[in-house]
Amino acid sequence: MNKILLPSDGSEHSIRSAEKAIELAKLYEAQIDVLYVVDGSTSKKDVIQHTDKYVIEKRRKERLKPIEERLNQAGITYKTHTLHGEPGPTIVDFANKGDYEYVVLGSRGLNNLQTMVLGSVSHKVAKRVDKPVMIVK
Amino acid sequence: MFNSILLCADGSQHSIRAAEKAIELAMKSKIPLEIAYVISGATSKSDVLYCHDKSDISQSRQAKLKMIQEQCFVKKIPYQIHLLRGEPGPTIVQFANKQAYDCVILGSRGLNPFQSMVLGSVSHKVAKRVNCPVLLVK
Repeated sequence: MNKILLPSDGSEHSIRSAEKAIELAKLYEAQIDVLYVVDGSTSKKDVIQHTDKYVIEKRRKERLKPIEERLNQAGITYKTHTLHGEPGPTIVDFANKGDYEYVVLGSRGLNNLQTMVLGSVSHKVAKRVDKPVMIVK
Repeated sequence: MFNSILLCADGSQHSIRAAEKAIELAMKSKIPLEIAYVISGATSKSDVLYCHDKSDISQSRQAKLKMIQEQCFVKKIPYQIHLLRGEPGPTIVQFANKQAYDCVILGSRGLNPFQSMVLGSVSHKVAKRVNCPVLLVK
């Protein structure tokens, strides 16, 4: 079965990229792997704001909720993966290891400052992933 | 759904791989393929230096797109070629933003290896400035 990788942080852009990924999945009858990367600063913030692990877990799930809702609505088979690390390199690693037909990325994520400078994460990923990468605005 | 897709081609190895993906998408979406080929100042100069007359030039340009046209033909995908003139990056961006495409497909590196080394240049510029989703093929 074809697979499509959807790295996601729950941002506005990642919701739009989810919609495109769904269209592609329908065309290719593919399954979608949603990848959520928890980086150092998110992890710190989560821990400072919430004292127990259960709440942290729940909040992370909430971030992906709009995306999961859309996937469910479209009737697409999907799996969610949560990884820890720097978003860029972590996504690249994961994408290159798996056997994906496409990687669908939002052009901007939650990291606004970096985006202003370069388009950062999506640019890095687009450059280093060896699969076709679709960048959604 | 994808209703209109634009393939940016320069005849390079990467653009042929991009064409394969574009044709696959066009086939699955059951839509024709639009192909943009940009003639830049530098290409135009080298064409004129190497070829003697005008028909030679247009032939050499045709040859660059031939592989892609053949693939379209084999897969029975209707296609339309747009010949554009100017700097590849901005010309593609302008053209793609004027017609509302659902997806623009690009090879990640083109014929300009030096610029690619520095930045990935044309594809990076296009990916940043085109309003619709951009598919980069390696």
